[in-house]
Amino acid sequence: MVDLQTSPSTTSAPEPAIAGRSDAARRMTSIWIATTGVFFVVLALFGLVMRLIQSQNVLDDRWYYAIVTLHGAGMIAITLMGLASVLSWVIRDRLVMSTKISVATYVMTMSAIVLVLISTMIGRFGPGWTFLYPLPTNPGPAGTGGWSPGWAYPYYIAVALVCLSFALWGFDVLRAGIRAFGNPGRMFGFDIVSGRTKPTDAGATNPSIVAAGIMALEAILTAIPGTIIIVMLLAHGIDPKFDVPVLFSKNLIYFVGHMLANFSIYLGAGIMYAVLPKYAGRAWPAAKSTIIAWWCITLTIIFPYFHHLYMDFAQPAALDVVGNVASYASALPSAVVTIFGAVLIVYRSGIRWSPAPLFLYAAMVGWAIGGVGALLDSTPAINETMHNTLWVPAHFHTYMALGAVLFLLGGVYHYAEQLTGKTPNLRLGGISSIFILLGGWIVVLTFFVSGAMSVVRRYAYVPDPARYRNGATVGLVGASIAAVGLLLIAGDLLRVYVPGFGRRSEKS
Amino acid sequence: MFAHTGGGAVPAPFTPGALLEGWDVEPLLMVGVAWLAIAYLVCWKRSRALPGPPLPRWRPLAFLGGLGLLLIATDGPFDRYGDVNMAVHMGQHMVLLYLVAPVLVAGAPLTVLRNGLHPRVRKRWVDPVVESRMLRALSDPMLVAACYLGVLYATHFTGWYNAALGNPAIHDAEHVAYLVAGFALWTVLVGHDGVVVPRSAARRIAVVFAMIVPMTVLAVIFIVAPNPLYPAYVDEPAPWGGRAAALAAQRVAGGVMWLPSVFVTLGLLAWLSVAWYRTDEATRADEPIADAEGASESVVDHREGAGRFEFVREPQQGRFVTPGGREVDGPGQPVGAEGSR
Repeated sequence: MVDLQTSPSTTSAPEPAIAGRSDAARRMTSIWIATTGVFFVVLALFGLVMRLIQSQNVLDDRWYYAIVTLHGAGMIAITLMGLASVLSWVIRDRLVMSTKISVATYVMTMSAIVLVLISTMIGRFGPGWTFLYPLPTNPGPAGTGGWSPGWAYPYYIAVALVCLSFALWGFDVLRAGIRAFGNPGRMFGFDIVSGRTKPTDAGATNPSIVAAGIMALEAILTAIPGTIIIVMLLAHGIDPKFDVPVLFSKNLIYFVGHMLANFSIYLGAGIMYAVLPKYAGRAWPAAKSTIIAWWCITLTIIFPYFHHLYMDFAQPAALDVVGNVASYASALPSAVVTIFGAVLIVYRSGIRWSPAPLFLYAAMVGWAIGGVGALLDSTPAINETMHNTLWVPAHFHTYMALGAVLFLLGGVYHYAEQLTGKTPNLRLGGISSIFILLGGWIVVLTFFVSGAMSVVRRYAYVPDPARYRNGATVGLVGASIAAVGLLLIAGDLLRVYVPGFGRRSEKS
Repeated sequence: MFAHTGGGAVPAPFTPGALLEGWDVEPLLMVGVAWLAIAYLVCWKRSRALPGPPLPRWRPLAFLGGLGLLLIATDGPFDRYGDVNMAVHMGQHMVLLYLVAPVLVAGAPLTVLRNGLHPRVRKRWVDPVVESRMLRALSDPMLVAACYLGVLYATHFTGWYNAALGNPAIHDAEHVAYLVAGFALWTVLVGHDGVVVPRSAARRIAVVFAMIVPMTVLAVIFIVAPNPLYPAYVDEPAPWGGRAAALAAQRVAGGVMWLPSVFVTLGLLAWLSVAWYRTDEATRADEPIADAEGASESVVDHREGAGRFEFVREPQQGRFVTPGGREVDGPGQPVGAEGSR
């Protein structure tokens, strides 16, 4: 492992042989990263198309709803599993994770994405990524904008595959962690909190491992309701007499969706713990406060999902209160420990802003600002006004696109040399990052402003009043700028991560 | 008794006042609980006279508290309203399974009973059973968990539950089955009871994980079932009966069953992780301890003349006892003199 006390570095130099970082693991992580990159760029371009439709009404509405479903589900899945693969590489310096399981999760995730592509692009399946029952199988007659109900089933199976794939990853993390530390207590830092071990001791756990472990546990717990709702929906498809309780199914779907979306940001934080200190030249050991904060996250990540159901009058009011309180509470461990911790790590460190730390720090900003937007929306009085507006995609894109995805990019840049032996073009990365951040922030700010103006969400095109479309138009410009940056970075990273890709240009 | 179904007055809609007025004290249950408490205290007092470290005082308090909770769950408003509303009934069962059973187990009644017996009875009749292979096999957490789930599934998906709503004896048997199953499960998972040899924390964690799916499926069946599963609730007079009310209560009952099990699962995982950690830490320090939180193979000290099961580590005192009887305050930090007290 790189000595944290040495001078700031800008790349990850190849390390001496570490059991967990075998060649097979190295190859598998590279494949994960390359595939994630390709899908991410494609899905991001679909996002640009969506803004194009909203501002210019250039395509049939059915395409919009199919693309919004693909964009949402695909981005959630690919970002989640991409981050999991990079975080796996981070913790492989201590944990020997199974490459076979990595292959299995890869096959499952890719199968899921292909199934979503088929159902949305061929079947025009478009209930939105949250696929709330009974819309997926009751879309209305095909001639009036609906899709054939049968296209719901590939999508359902895809959701189950993502849940199970992530749970499988979780089992592997816990298995490897327990094997490495001897017991889950040391993996989760009991010895540090009890004072038996110092955070800087050689055998002590580190924040990345704690984060991965907590997410692993939650992944397993989330897979169960995720699988149950899919089984129920499939059962309804097989026998329509089997009635799925609507409110219950909505609770399950939003629980699973909320968890999967939140996992991404927490996995990203796990990567940041390992990478950012190396550029700041400071250590980020697993302090008591960090560990306790992560233990709290075990619970605080579960209950905020109730804030997605404020609008459902049939939902017991007590659960709304739980959702509100839990949403506020969930901000504390993240903000106090991780975000402020990162600020202090960087403060006066003399950090050299290459793409990796830049993306990681920018991700934290996106996480913090998107999180505040989410907190506002989790306040019932505000939610009543804002929930069905573009405010929701605003905060969501802020902490996903400008948070989780940037965490992923930071990790991908940092570990490129270690994984492939090739160095990304840091200058190109720096320039691209300006495009991505500028364009990305224009996109989310137009969402925020449009949301504040009560522009409705989930609409392909709002014909009147015309000013509603101004935000979409400006957003389209921002998305175009971000797309340029993304394509530049993607080209360079594919050169690094895909053997043979761009070899001719390298020779010349 | 444990229940009061079949022919009792239909309770009025619930008001806070029912918390005070909704009690149906069953004399037989009261007498039974009183005798259990007396027997426990007598055995506890006798066991204190034996050589070896004494049982901490909080354990009798836990056992008596468990008996108190049992009375509240079976004689209080839970029982009265549970006869007409499935959600309340499910709440009562959750109290029995997740509150009464573990609190009783915390009192280590099996060890207290064993220690309180006459030495001749103990050596001739009890110890051979305790040390038998059969008890060891039967106390395997996986087997006990399977039996626990079997009791839950059998009582809910055979005619038992519906029959229990009209027959107090069957209802009592149902509650006894829950108590026994819950007591057995908690004993093998977290019990500090020397009578049952605890398995490794890893195995117990695996059992907790394995139980998540069947417990969840059981709860979800109540939530998604399109019709009331128990006609007795439908047949209740107004305002409790009717298909719609019974179905609504059944769905809430599913939630009442599911949510506590999530918390219990997380709590158990945390508890067992701590147990595993403490055992492992003690092992790392090369201290030959007999046990730490029941995670090693045996917590029974069969020293000649000791005469009782020894709680080799009492959380209250934070002490470990080596096989030689030496007390240590954590691995490698002796705080006591050689030999037992």
